[in-house]
Amino acid sequence: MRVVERKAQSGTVLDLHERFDFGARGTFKEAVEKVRQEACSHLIVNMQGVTFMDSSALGLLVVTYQNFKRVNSKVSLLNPQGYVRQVLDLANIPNMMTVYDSESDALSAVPVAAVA
Amino acid sequence: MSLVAVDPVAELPEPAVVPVTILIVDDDPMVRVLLERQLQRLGYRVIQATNGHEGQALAACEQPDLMIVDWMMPEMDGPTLCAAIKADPLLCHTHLIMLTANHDLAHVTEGLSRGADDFLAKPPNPKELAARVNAGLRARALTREVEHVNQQLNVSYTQLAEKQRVVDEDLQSASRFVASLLPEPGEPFPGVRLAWEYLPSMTLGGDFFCAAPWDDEHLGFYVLDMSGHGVGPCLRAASLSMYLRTDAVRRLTHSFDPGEILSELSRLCPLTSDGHYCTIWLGCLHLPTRTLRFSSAGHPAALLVNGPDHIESLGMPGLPLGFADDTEYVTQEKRLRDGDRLHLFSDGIFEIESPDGAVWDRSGLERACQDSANLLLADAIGQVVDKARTWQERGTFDDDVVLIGFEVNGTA
Repeated sequence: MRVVERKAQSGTVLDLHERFDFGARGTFKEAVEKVRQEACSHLIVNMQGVTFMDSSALGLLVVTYQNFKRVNSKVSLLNPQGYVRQVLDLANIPNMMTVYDSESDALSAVPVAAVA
Repeated sequence: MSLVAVDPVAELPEPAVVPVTILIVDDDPMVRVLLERQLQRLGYRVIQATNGHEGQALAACEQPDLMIVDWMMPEMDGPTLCAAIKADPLLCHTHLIMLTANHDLAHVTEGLSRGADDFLAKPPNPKELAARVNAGLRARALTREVEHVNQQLNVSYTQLAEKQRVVDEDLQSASRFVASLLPEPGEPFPGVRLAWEYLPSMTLGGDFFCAAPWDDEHLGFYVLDMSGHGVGPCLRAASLSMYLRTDAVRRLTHSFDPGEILSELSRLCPLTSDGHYCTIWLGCLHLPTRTLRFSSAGHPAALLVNGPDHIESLGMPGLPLGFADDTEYVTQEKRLRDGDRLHLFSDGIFEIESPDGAVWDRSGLERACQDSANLLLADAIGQVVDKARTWQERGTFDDDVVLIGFEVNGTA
């Protein structure tokens, strides 16, 4: 999996590409850790380019969500497609993390910390 | 757990420091004495033999580092001795210098082809002797080092092979234990038939299932999928299954309500720090009324089949266990009819790809379940798994595969 980090005024976007599976865990964790150390208040995981996602990737997303929540930061998902969307829906992830269809909506969302 | 008692590689002894031994094999006593003096002056231990046979015997006994061998000798000549030394596995790395007055090409070629490593003109010049012996001993030191490293590698390989054998035995033993926890196919409850296929992708899998009477009227059953494969997920699956044993399930919630049970399990089994978790489909069948109550935590919906024309999904989207502390799982209800077949499975059976990348998906599994609806239950389960194999055009699966079938019949 390829991960590209983009900084925006109200958060950080991680563009994920290709397969998000067990083999991509290290790449994703590394990218997230970098963002976390920068005290990012809103991490937007852009899933538009993800073609496949397995259960270990799902677990990693939720651990990331829980870790950010613990420090009053927020994790959102952007534009999951097809099969990836099905996996997220089956696990009821949209009830846990906000899933946006547009990046501008995601970036204009008020992070948890700001609400608090 | 078994332990392998083997010495670590580091304990393999380094070669002992002993004086360098040079064996002179020559039938001319003057040459032997001359060489002996020169070599002893250089600090070497020198031993002597007067012909090839004697030289071979002494070499076998003393294992010299280097031999200086005359070409022409009675009984066994120099080239024959060289060939014999190189053919002996214990002596083949001995450096052989052949003494000869003849340095034409054919002569040298024959000497090299029969095992000589170097040549020395006869009578030997002291400086040339010292230089050639030094060069030969350097080569010998290198081969000794290679021999030592090879020895270390052989010891390491033996140790690793032994450790691997013990690990494999432990895994097989654990695998047999897991298999012993699975329910017997047949009729676990009057009026309910059970058949299944369980194919862990490694020796130990993260998928697990069970079916057991919870009391005289209730049959409890579930299939769970612990993310990952191997020992860790298998241990987590087996420990979670302990909460769902007949004697434990009442203590968990004081009810047989699947939603309540999963809500409690979710609190007991949080997501691990590296993101591993469990999905589960849990059902409880009340036998007298054939009422199935079920709940699911992020697990694929079960399939209810009745003949080739009726199929429906029993499940609902839901968070896997441990994703959130306060998840309350809901229970749904379904009254079963005669001939209803309930298929439980994990995603490994349908998330498979054909060689050209097409995914079988739930739709493929649903078709296969319907196509096999008129077969005996055990045959139907076998046929569905065979169709999955046919789809991916190979016999083994990348993920754990579990497919369970329950059939309610008229004898209840």
